[in-house]
Amino acid sequence: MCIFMKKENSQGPISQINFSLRKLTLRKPLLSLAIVSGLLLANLIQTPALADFEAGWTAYQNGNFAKALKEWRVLAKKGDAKAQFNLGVMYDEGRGVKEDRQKAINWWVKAAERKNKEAQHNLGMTYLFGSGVNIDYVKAVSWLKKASNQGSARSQYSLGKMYSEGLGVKKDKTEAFNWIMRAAESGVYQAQYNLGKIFRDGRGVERDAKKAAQWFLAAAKQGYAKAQNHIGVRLARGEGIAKNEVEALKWLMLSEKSGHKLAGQNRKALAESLAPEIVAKAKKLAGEWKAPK
Amino acid sequence: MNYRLLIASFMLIAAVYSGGAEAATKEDATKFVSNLSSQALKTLGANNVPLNQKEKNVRELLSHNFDLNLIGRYVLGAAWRKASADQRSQYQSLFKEFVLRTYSRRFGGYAGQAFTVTGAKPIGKKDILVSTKIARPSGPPILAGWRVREKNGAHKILDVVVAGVSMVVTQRSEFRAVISKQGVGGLIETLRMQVTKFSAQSK
Repeated sequence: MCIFMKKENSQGPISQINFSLRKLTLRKPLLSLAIVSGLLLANLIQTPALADFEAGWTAYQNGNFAKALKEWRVLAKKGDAKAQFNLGVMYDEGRGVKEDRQKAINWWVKAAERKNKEAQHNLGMTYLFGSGVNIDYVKAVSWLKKASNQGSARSQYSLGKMYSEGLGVKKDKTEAFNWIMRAAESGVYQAQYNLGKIFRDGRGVERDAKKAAQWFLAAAKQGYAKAQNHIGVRLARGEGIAKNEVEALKWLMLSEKSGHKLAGQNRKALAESLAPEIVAKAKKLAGEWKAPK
Repeated sequence: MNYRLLIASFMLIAAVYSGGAEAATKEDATKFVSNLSSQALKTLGANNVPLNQKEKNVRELLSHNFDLNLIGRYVLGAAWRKASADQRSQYQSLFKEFVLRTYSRRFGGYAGQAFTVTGAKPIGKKDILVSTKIARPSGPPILAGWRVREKNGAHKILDVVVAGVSMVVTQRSEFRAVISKQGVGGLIETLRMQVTKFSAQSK
């Protein structure tokens, strides 16, 4: 299984500075000269820290974890949230160091307090799973809320699930729906699939076959086998979506190919009821289909 | 690690890991582990290969040489029998992803240190535990044991024991903690979420 998610990172501040520089130099030469010198000076002051971070990143990419640790540790001690987050990852994943969940947590808490949403999300996941620490759903929810409020889509999905299961928080179908909806809109395929089920069953929301089909289709298009099976069945029956046997068979074939057993049974039953040319058409479409990167 | 605890872990595994396989010989199992180690060295020691590519190569190696179906089943413990067919298949695919992700990250960064076989002995009715020593540039070497089984002429790894700690026994107790709170369905959902953890970030 892969994670197909939209990128949540935005461009860094350096590219924005360069962009505004170009605009300014074209208009008012003297003023822009003054601003340019100011910016260059600011850049010079910033550069060492950035260079150290980059040196750490390059070392990390080359598997030179000892150097990455050294570079990032200096920055982390000075309060650089990203360096703190990355150090936490190295301890969590056991990269070049002995895996140490407590050290990972300590660095992530420092980064999370500086509003690093990746650290907040990972802390939520750590308390949810409890590997090396005690499972603590209340702590998990508290970190997931912080990351969700900062727009981390995968955290929003997890938070929605915590509300729907009543883990670490009072069960609340409306809150569950709202958070899962936000994650689905950001492209988290598990959230889209879950939303399909929520609309199908009318949990915390009016039952809506059309919306259910729409969200199952969205997750299916991202390559999620369970959703491909659901939309295949709905297209075959014309349930919440216009009946289309070729498309139905295509999705069932794709789902089966990913190892979904029930989809295999559904595919077999549907194919037996259809003309050979329709089956051939579906097969061709399934063969041409590619999961998005 | 406590010696008695180690024996108890192996006995526990032996109870599940029985049936459907021929006994592996010490020589074959040793050859298999040596061969695997030279493949790993080739992958990890390669220069100018970016980390994510190395991790991909390690992942391939792990998925071909570990019996993840059997390991997954063992790790789920008594809950396997109570799980529905749909839950079993969901769990197995998530478990594989979870293990491959965890271990390809953990091993992907090794620069290809020397890996020597130091011994082999039978374990359980059908398996061989091959002991190895992995040198490190600094600090004492890592002692790792590989539990190997032969099945239809192919060898597969069933467990890794590092410094006396069994990977599958550890994993099993972690999963048991989640299952006791949320059941198998909860474990499946938790595994689904675990793979969303963020890895290191660039600026």
